[in-house]
Amino acid sequence: MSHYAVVKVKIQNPDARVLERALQRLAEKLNATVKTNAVVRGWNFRRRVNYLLETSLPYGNGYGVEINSKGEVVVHVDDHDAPMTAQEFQQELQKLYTAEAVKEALQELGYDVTEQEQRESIVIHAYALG
Amino acid sequence: MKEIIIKVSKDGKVSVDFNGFVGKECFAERTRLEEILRRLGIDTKVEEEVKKPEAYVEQEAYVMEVERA
Repeated sequence: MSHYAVVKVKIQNPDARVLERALQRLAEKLNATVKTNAVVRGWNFRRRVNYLLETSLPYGNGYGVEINSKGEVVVHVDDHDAPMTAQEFQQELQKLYTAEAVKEALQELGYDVTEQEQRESIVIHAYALG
Repeated sequence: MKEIIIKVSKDGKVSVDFNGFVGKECFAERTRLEEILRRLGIDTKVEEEVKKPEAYVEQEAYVMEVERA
């Protein structure tokens, strides 16, 4: 039977390898460099985070990503006049993480996978091998 | 040929389109996919599900083939 489903996703306790691939893709879009265990700075705040996407922002040194004690992904940034707000960054990271995780899962299930990135979404085609 | 098309939107929604699966195969495949995604830290909740009309034709064809065998 073939079917179509719409699914809402929530990320918790992300896989480090998948998260790093998603962060690398996001860093390329922001012309940033990914650093681990680094300090993110903004107007009147500094915080050590798991990942820093280091890039020059009007009021900070980039976007910090922390995995908190509940396993949630938290973004720290002074986004005043930044190219992406904290919310936009979080949405983009969730999209890229989900796409990378879906591709990994489909490959594990034995599919041949291709990806097409569109303006607001990512489309993944998976074909059964053999 | 079995094909899965997945669209990931920035609002956190994912649409999944299963094509070419026979019987309840696609539901089993979806369960396997969800299990791997859970291991990778993604919890999923189905918001909408539509069985395609051609799915019933495929299923009927499958049943006939089994009966013949």
